[in-house]
Amino acid sequence: MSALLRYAMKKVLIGIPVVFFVSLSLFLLMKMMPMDPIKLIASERVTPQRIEELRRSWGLDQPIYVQYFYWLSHTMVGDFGYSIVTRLPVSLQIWSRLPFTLELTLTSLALSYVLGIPIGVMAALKRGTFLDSTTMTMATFFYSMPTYWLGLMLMLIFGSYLRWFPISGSLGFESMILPTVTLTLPYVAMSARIVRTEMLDVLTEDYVRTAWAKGLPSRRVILRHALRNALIPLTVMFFLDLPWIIGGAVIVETVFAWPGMGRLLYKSILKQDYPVVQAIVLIIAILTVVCNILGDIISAILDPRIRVEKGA
Amino acid sequence: MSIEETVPKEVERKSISRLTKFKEFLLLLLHYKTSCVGLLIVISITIIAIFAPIIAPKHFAEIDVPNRLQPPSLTYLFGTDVLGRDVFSRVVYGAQIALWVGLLVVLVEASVGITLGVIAGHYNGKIDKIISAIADIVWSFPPVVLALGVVTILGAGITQVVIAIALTSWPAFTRVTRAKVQSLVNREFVLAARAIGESDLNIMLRYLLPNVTSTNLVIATLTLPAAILSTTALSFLGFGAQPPTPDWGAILSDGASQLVIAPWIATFPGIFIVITALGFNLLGDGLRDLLDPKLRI
Amino acid sequence: MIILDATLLVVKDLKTYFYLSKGVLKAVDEVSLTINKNEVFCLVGETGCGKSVTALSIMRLISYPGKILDGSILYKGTDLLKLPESEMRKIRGKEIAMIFQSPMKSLNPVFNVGYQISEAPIVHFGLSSNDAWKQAVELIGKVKIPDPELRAKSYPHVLSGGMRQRSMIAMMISCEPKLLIADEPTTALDVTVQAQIMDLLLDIKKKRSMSMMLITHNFGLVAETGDEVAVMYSGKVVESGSVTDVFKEPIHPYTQGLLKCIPVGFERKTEIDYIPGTLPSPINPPLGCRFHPRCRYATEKCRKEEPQLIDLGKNHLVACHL
Repeated sequence: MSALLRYAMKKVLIGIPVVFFVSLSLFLLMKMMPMDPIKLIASERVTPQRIEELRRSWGLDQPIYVQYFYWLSHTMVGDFGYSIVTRLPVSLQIWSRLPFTLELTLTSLALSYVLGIPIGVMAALKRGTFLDSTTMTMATFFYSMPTYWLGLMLMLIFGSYLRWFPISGSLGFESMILPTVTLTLPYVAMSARIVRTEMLDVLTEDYVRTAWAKGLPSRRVILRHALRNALIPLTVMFFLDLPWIIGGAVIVETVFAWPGMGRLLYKSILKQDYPVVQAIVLIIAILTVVCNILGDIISAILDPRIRVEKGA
Repeated sequence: MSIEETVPKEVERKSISRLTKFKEFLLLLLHYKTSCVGLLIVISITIIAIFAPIIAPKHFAEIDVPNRLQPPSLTYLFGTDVLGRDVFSRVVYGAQIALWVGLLVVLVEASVGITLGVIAGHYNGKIDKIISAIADIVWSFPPVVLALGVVTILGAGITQVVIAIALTSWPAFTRVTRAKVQSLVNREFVLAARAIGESDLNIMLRYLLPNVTSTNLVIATLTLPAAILSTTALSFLGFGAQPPTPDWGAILSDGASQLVIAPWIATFPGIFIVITALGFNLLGDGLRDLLDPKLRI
Repeated sequence: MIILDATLLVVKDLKTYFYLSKGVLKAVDEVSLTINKNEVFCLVGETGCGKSVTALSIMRLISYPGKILDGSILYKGTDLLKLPESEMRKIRGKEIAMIFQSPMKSLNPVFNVGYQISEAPIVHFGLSSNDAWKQAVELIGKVKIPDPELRAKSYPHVLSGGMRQRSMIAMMISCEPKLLIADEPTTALDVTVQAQIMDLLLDIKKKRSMSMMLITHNFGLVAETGDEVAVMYSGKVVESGSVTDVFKEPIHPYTQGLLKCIPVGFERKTEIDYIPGTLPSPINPPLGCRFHPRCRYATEKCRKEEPQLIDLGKNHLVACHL
């Protein structure tokens, strides 16, 4: 069995208890919430007896670990219970919204790196020049911008005044442009900065000097020797950025009324629709752990050193 | 012969050194010009925040309904909002809140983060692994979602927001502190202290902690703008400052509903947020170049 | 300076400065030397005297914040400093090659050794990857690494220090350069391995009629392997000539001091000789002769004027007022 496979399996094995731990913490936190779900659903006219009946049918009178077991077994098959507000299954609501969120976030993430890497590499190569400092200052500028404000400003300029793009909803491709730009811009800035830092680091490494000393053409040295090494931490960062960008999507979706999971989360919190909130947070938490594991495995694939160091 | 020779040389050296020192300072200033701009911005915003009651022509909650939704004018520099409140005054008071809240968040984060970082770096082994694992997971968890989760449990309000945001970003301090401590732990002065028989706590407090200060100062300067961005985001969503508190995010949220009719309400607070965050980020970058260039979050 | 047929490389008045925020670091300040065909030229001096920078300047591998300001480097008659980058690139690796000090950091960790060795021939000679790979395996064998077929697929981090350095050597001789610059090739290695590597290098030099520029601070190595030597101090060459001449009759006080520092034979001494003082700062070197603060025989002239290199016959050059 190759070292890589062993390493991957080790990471997954460690990941499973982490996922359980996270779900347990979420469950306990939920239990700490100052509300009684039954009282929320039932109106005032319901008798206390009926309330007790409901409580028993939901299993809320059982000890905590039993409740956890029930909850866990339901969650693992994707049954997140029912929304307090809509009475629909939570899973239905989430699955219908998930594609929208993924569409937005994955596009933004991909764009940020596709744009950020060339910018960062160029800034690193032209280090110390006017171009470099201008680009980096601009990057800091966009990176200091609150996404919701950027969204509103873009809406104002392009949606209202210029009437180029629609400002809300999800009618076709055009309506995705403004939200995507809003979400992408700060991330492009951030990734450009990081790419530049990583490239600068790598370019000063001895092995790059060796590559130059062999008389290899610049493109080969920069792309194959330098960038390839710089991409290792960058790829890991790509995976770790995914949960982050979903978080950013919450705000963007709200501003642009984009029917995704983030907007659902926001509205559910306002309406105190706790089953939905809990389900979404749980999904994001698991996604985070999975991305962490994926990031580790990817870095082992890209960097041969890691496979040997840890538990060969 | 030798004395006569050396004296003029000494004098020469002194005047040269004074000139070169000043030149060095100017060169340093030029080299760090962007961070100097950052410093200027930070100082300006701080002054605005401290002297808000004096600078703002009206109180932030003062209502003037007949003049509602007026565009910027001489009396109302940034225009008025739905209730006729002076947007300019609200933004100025908002600086107070932004800085105050930001500082609080950073303080909480730093206390938690640095403590954990020192412990993790000092003890290594299992404690280190646990702390690092928790830090990694918390750090990769989207801060907005985590903050929203905390707010759901604890309710809305500035205090809750401070706790929520602080809980999301303490790993920044932990990581950096841990790395620094690990590099210090094997140095002679720590080993010497241990040889004398200093207790672990003492070593951590008196030897390790002071040496991580400069690094953490850089991190603090860079975390503050993120804290401001996050807290205003939560206020924008309605979970942070409650009306009529003029938190920048809250003003923006008001402005969002009036976006087309009265765009000035949303525009100006945002500009202030960008400038403030930019200022701290530029300053932080400069500090990092100065104090610890190899730093990376 | 007479340029003969046997001359391979002539460096004349080379100036390489580094522009730092602290000031200008004069790493190489008017250095001149001559390397002939088929010889082992040693460049010696203490750490920080500019030897590595000289070598990197020859290869034109100086980057920000450094700059080659002045001088000429004539390789087979062509001034390397005047060449466009595309031409210089053809020379690097093919005509002049360089191996570095720390083989761990000098090998790319994400490519296996075979690939790295086959790169230069592919680029310079247009070999196919298959042919280049075969040649790489051959070369690995020639540098005396056991099991070349297997080793070619290894990554640098699994190899020992000695094997890494051998891989570096294989990499750099893959295009049969005429001049191989070796910057402290053995310093980072174990003592036992050092001798093996030096033997290997000399063996290769003989078999391929290559010249070698050996940069080191180890005088013993110079005595054993060198034909010509140049002693550098604080960015300048203070003495140069054939190894026999310089070692038998060192003229410059610095060279004398260095040679005296080496404990010789089995004599039991009560003290070890040393040269008093410390290296001068390369940003603010002393006026006049750079060595004068530490020189026993320093005179007025030494404090004021910089000595030029004077030929004492048989190409034994010294920069000293005495």
